Amino acid sequence: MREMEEVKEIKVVSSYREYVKRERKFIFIEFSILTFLFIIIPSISGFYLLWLVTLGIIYSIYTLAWNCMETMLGRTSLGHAIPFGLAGYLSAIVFLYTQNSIFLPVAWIFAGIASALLLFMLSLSKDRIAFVFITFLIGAAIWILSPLLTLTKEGSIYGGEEGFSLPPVQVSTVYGIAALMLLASFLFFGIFRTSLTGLKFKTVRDDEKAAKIVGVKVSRVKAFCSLISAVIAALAGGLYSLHFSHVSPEVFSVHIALFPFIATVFFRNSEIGGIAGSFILVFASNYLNSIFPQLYLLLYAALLILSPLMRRGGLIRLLIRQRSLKREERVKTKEG
Amino acid sequence: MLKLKRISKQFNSLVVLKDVSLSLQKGEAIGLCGPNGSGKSTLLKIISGFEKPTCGKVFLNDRDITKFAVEKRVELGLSFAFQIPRPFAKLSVYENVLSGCLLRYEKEEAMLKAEELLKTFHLESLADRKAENLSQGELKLLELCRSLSTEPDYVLLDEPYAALDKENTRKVRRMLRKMKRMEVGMLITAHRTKILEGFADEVFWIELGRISRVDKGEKL
Repeated sequence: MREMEEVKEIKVVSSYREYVKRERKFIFIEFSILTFLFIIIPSISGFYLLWLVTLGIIYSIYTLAWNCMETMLGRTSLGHAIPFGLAGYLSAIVFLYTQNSIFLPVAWIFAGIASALLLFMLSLSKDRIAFVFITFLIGAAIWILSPLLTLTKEGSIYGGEEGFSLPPVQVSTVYGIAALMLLASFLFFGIFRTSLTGLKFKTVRDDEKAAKIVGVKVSRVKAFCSLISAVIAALAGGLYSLHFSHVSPEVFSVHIALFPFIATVFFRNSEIGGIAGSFILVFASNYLNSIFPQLYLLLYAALLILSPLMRRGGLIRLLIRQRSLKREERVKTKEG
Repeated sequence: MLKLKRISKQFNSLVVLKDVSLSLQKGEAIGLCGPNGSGKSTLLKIISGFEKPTCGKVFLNDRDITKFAVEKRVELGLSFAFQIPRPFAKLSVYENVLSGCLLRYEKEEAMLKAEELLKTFHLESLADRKAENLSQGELKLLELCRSLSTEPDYVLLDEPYAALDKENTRKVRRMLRKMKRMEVGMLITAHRTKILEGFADEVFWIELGRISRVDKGEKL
């Protein structure tokens, strides 16, 4: 286009390259730690712990999928229980009629694509707050209506409050598939976030109007993000139903819808943060449930109430910030 | 050439623009002056594609772009700088500019171009800083710099001097002069002609949605 001033030293580019390199180094270190943990866990844990860790892994995949919409598109979805639950329901129905588990992944992907279409259409609205509420309302409506779904096969009625059954699968098998899927999603989202394509996505997150001015095709970004997010959430939902060998209206419930939102309250804006948050919630819920049934809901409620305080940088950063503020105050009082 | 042909805009019964026509060549700077609510910003929004005209047409290099989306217009060589800066708040200054350079260049080249732009406009010292931590004046400079990152032939500048102190006004002025030297066509809205002195080739006065007067640059 035009004559630019002659520039000899290239400092800004190299410092940006350094930054990306550093970020990726962290991602690979975290990835290696996760891989190591997932390899040794089956050999050191009993059946129940492995079952619980598998559940943690499945929820972590779900949280990563949700986090993609949040960190790339700036859309807080409370409707990710839709792909999650739909995948479980659809695969169970397919299994009921075919009695063949080979079709299950096809059902999961189909559920993901159908949900992606819904999320994409909702994300076309400029109103980000409306997106939160509408996704939540649609999810809640499906949760309320899902017990009405009953199917008849050879004179027997399936579905309703009881839900549908899926073929029993060994915990170690689900663990293996879920761990592989989590590692793949972790690596994909980590590299994508630090790539230049990821940068284009983040422009949409920060300001859709300004993103258009730098030539970013906002609708295409939204479509891609919705698709990736919903398909991965559906795969997590499929594994969840396989893990329980059963699917009921509970998969669409409010606590499933809120799970990733609450799980990312602890450490924000990182893949490892979402995974750590998911494991904390799964293990804490399990512990609280052993004290009193449904006690975990109190934890959810507390975290939800505190979330506006925590969401900016995550609970951990909030605590660090408060500590440094207190230290500063102490120094000032001493000086005074 | 960027050409507007009898642009009118009406919001319900309120006529905001009526039969506005003008043309802008590459390397030319045209000022749009007028009081608040005269329709200056609406005209820029229509040219950039954020608003659709009630009637009239916008041509870019003899191509009718009236129905084109904003992104398509940007691809064809049009850019826009918002009156109130709209940076990508969570991104660094460098990433803000880099995001625009990616439209025309591949990864490596885009990175170098972004750096060149920052250096041309003396923003390299802010490169690593997040846009949300910039002052109002710095944001304005970033907004202008980013508007050039897509290598436009024409830039629409909505009140580039609004809410700036003397020092930053001087910086923006220097920046606009540089842009003119780079052969970028500029359409600039302003309240007063004084700030357009020295580089505007023509000033169109808009009152109640109509062009009421045109002053040549020498007259300013």
